[in-house]
Amino acid sequence: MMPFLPRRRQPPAMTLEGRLGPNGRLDEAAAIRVDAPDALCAAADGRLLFSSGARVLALAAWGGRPETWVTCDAPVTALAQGPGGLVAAGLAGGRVAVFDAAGQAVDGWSLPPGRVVSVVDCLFQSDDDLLLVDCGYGVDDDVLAQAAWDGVARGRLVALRRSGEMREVASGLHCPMGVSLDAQGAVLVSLLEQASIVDVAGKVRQAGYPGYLGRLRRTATGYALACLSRRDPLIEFLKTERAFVAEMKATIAPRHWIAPRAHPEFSHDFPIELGATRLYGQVKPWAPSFSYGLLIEMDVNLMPIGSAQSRANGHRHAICDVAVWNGDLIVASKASGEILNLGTTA
Amino acid sequence: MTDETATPIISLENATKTYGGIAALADASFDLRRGEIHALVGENGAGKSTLCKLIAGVVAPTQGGLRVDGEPVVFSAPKDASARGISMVYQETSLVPQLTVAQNIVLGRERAFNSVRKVRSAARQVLQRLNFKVDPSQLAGSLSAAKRQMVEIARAVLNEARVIILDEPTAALTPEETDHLFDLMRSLRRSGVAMIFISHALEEALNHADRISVLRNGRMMVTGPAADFDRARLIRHMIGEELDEGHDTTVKARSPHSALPVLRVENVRMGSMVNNMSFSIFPGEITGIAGLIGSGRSEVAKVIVGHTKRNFDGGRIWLDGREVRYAIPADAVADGIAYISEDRKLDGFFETLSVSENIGLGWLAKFGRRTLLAPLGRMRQIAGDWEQRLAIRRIGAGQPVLHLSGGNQQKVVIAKSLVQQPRLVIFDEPTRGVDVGAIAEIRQIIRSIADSGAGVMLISSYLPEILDLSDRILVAKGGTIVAEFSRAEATATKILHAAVH
Repeated sequence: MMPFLPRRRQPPAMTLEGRLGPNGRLDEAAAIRVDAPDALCAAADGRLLFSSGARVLALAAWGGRPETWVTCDAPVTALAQGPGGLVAAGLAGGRVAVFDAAGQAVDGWSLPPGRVVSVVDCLFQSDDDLLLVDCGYGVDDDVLAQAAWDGVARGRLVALRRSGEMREVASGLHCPMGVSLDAQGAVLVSLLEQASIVDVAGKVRQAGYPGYLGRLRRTATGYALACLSRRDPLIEFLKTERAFVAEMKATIAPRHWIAPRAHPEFSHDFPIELGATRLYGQVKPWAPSFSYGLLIEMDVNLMPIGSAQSRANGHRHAICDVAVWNGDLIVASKASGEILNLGTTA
Repeated sequence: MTDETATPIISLENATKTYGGIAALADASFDLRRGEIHALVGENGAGKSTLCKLIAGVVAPTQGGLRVDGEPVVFSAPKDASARGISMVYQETSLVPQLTVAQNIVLGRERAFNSVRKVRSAARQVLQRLNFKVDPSQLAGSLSAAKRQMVEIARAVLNEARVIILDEPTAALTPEETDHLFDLMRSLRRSGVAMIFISHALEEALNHADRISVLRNGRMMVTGPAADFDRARLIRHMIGEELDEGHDTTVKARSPHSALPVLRVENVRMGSMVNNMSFSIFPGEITGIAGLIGSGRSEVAKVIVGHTKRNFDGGRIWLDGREVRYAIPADAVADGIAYISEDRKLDGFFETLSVSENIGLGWLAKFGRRTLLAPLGRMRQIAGDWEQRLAIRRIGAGQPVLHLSGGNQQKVVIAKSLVQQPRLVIFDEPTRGVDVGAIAEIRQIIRSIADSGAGVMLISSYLPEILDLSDRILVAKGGTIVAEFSRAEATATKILHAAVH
């Protein structure tokens, strides 16, 4: 018995029951179709900004037509609204562009090339200070597949000043995906694979979320946490099967690994997980799928108070960003290519 | 079938029985006719069991008299009543666990030299006649509650009893076994046997009895043909007022205090009964577990508290985020888990000790570990406090729990667990064999436990109870959890469908 004990891992403490019980809020939400959405934020002028590939679109009111606000030279990977109307955009390749309220590029804020692998989230700490989250994986890497099986903590939190001066705030983070400030102004970072929220010292503020964490945002009642997928029992089980995982990593391309995914996939050569995905030709909502739509609403202590979900039979999976806009909770679904309006916050 | 003009086979005239100056039965008159099924109903402590014990010769009346076939009789022991053809099937089974079923059936009527084969074949004959599938060579201690009840009934039938008194015969039986028992009672009635049965299931009394008598606070309230009663009228006589039993929609589903479960069970396996069971229990929420008998609900509860062992590598259990594996239930008690057993007489209390001693021992089990001397004064004070909080009604301070009514016994078991200040309470069939009034009280107690922030797991085969109490309903089938419903979406049809298909 004893030799097996070190292999046992503690799965996340929370399950999709009780307050996080299944619902169809994401599937029922009103939506706008967008190509390749990744990031969104509410601008100072009251418009909603969201990325679509290399473009940033602006929406004046829900139901209106989105207009192109700026077009960048690389896919936009993060958006943040600053105090003076500034908007920062993380760009693929580990670069940053900052725009003023009119959409004109602002001088400064130049990130030395090669210093940051990729910017997955950013946050203005002041007019002059921008925090960047570097998850450690490049734009071509399938982050979800890699991070689930990577033991190396290569993520960092970097502060960039308008002058171009760069400072490392935290390092050794395991795949950080989002950054936010708590009520006291302390920095919180969400970690994708470790399903926990930590501060810059690496101290765990809350752990055990039943998903792969994405971006973290403040709301009127606490926080909203976008989850790229939910915890999958097969993946959790494989964490004890080291030889199998080592062989999988050595012989198969990451795209085919048993790992969380952004898009719902059901194919005949797919690991069928106990044959448990379909019943009478329909995908069962409770099937153990690799992709999932999950947004967790939390109180000020980072304790979940509610959720919005799209289950295995839905398609609004991989919730990658969330923002509060005019009192409504707006989320971006990578899998379905939609911006969703969940209505007033919990 | 019954002859109203004939002399009643049993008649009790103005009988009073007092315990320690308090009347358990006051000035009650009762008669039983040949070949009738007579139901006795009443709240816990109404005096039903006392009345039956007077007839069966277990206790003697303080005042008043008993006539059998019109002759006045005085029974000094149950043996005397048995000689007159009166048999009683007790609520707490009186089998000797170390003897076989056959030996138990002939117990008290053995000859000086017994042939093992004859004893066994006599027992087999009577069991087969009654269509009870019980092996006569099995030890009585290894039988389930229902089978023990069957052996008791077989014993009465073998006795060629003219009067059989059944004290809550259906409390431990499944619906099919209950139907079978009433079939048997009807066939015994045809052969002229008179039967008294005590039941808390009012429908049973209304559907199967010829006459019904209602007792309240030791007094006979009314006796009449079953056709004259309906459920509401019975309840009015029993408690003296109307009771709203409808699905209580005023109590809203409470939302759990936290998203962190107090108990998390993952893939637990135990023998053939529990098969990959996974679920979570949240603080401040009542999680009902519905399912058929044998769906592995009680078994998983017993694995959680360390009463039975799971399979090798048979799943994992976390209590407040800490993985636990209890070797003995005492460790689970120390960690704040209370399990309120479905068989309270066997596992729930010490039947010869008093109410306050029982509650005090519950306290000692958790807080008195590793103390040299038991703080008796403190224990008594805590016990008195809980007795009042749960309104446990008893006669006399030192009265053994054995003599309390089913509902009060259940309250003692609950008090004994609550005194340990648990963070997780597992109720297994909490209102089985409990009368209508006490059911409402016990449900209120369960709600208040959840309101205080503890996690509550409620195992019940009685669907209205699950629907009424639970905030979240899980359905077990074949040792695994097959469905989950919120309070709002659950209906009896949906739950049954999940439990069966």
